[in-house]
Amino acid sequence: MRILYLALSKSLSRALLVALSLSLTACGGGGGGGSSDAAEFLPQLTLSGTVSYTDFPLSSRGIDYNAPLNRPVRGVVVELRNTQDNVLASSVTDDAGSYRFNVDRDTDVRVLVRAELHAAGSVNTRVVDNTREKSLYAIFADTRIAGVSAELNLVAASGWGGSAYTADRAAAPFSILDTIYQGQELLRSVDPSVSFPLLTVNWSPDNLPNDGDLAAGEIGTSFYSASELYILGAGGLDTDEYDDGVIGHEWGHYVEDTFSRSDSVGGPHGGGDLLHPSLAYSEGLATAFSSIVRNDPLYIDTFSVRQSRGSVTNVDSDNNGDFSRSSLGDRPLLDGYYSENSVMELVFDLYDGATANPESGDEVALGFGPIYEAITGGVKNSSAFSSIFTLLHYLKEASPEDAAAIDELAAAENISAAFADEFHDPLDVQLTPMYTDLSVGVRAEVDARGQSLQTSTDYGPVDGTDDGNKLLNHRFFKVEVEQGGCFSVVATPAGATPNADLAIYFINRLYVDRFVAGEESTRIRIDSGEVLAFAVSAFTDAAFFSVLVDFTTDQC
Amino acid sequence: MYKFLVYAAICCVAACSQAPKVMAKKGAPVQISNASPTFDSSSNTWRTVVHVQARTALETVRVELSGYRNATLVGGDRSMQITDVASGEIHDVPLVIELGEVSGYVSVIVMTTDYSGATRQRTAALRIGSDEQGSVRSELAKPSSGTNGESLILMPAQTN
Repeated sequence: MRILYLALSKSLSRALLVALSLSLTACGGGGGGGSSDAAEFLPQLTLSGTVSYTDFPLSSRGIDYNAPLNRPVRGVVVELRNTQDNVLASSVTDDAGSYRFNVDRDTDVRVLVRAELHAAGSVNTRVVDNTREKSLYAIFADTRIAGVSAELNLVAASGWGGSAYTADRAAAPFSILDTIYQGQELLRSVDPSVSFPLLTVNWSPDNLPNDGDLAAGEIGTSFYSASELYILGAGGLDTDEYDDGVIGHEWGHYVEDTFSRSDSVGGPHGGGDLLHPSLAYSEGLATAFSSIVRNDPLYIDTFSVRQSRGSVTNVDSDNNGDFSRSSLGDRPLLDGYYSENSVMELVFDLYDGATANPESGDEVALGFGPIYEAITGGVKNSSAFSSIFTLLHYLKEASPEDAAAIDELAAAENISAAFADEFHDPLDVQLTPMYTDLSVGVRAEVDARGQSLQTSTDYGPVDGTDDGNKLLNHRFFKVEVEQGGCFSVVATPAGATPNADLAIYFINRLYVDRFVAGEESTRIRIDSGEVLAFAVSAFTDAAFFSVLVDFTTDQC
Repeated sequence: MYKFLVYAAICCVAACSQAPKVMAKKGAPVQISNASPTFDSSSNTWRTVVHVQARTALETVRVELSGYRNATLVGGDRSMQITDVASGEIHDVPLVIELGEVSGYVSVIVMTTDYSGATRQRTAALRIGSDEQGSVRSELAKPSSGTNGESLILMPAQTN
């Protein structure tokens, strides 16, 4: 943005200028400084400029440092400070990264750009250094407001020195914020009144891929948890600030957690895994969301020496193929409601066509609005564990004219939605249906196929402290209650595993566990006509068990 | 609204929790760990064994190792590739490390290919030497407190 400079009026004396008190106004933020009668007679100088950061293209060859891109820093707080470090005025950059202050001449000032996104009168996202007492990142430049020049453009540089990072990595926090800004714009496009609860993003060059003390940078990997993001910064090994696919994915978890509901149990996962259905849904949704935010089907995670490699996932292609787990013989296809790749591809296919190109045979182009409505409405309030079934159910309910085409897309991912409700496909022919139906007062010892109830480690291990996050590590149950009241929910070890250590999960990540071997139980109030869903897991290998939901005269 | 009624009504006869969960970026289905490093005073080097365990069956597992932040590998394999890896299988890589400071890291990059042809990677930085993390911190702007006591990491912008 070019600035029109105001010429200094010849009629003003130098003495008068010096006598002026500082008078400032800000565009978009709170004004500051005093005013005087004299100030009203003097034209102030407009100090303006842009804030940008250095970005880089990504590919399977990692980060291309030879092709730097200058991107605007949008929606962040800019402060005008005096030499005593007092804030004279503040503003928020616009879509072009521009800011503007009105300021008196002959003043020494500092323009300071805070790594904070600001909207609707408050800060909603901050990038801090978790290894340095959560200090907020900021860039600054000092200048003297004099003469005719009052343009100050600030660039947050990468710190890249040709073969390694050799200077402050000032661009990093602003690169992270820019992906989040795009995400916020997407949500505002379908929900103009949306308000974002505070998110703290923890990034540091010392955030390394080893597990331990978060305050020491031992974060393990980039992740979201409880309204905080932790992002890797280990240059030459694994650093994610430019991996906007990763940032968008983790921010997608924030969106799901904040505006919808996640029943994911978390933990390690990957595209080829057969996962806990809520985990598969959460991860697949987050990756698809990342691509929708960026209008880019490529998810690229860079790593290695000089960030010279990139792991590329195209969310708009078939990542699983028609493969099964060969080591397990005649087993389920990789595609299904338990695959994050399947969920990712399906959600993106449901979305695309509105702005991205759909492939042949994709007759659905819902755009983001209906998906947002479903995840913040029906899915959020469902009695079922969140899964691709809940999303499909509420999408079809809102758009019955698209139901057949949605079913067709889902079928291409080996997800049978045609006969599914918000819980599951009760006619699942490949696996036993996801839920086993229970009747009040009747102990269940077998699943829908008549096989003894048991958790399984076919698709992932459990151990004494981790009850797993893969398919069949958790078994799901639902019971419809005609007459409401207080009910006991009991899971009892059985058969060859009488000392199994069980846990009971309810929706919204609520679980019950005594952390000892033997029966688990709890009491719960259920209203008339409602459906209670719960899951049973085990910390011991492939536990057999039975379950019972029964009315109790005890108090809930 | 139903679910909220349910939450409120759950009676904690056992331990109840709603612990926050960690939603991590996706990675290769392997677990990376190492044996507790030991110091060999005769050679002034550290020794450890890196363990790479497959969490599922994999067609190939490629492991790359190098010194990271004050550490140099002076003994052991820098890379290895294994094929047809069974779920749970563990592969060990003994290493000898020289440290420039009191502590450093071994960088581990594991790239896997499953039987569908999909590739994934996982990284790890394994601490070697003293427990003092500060010696391997990056050099960068230190936090400073403003007039309102707020702690900021101030980095000079480039200007034009």
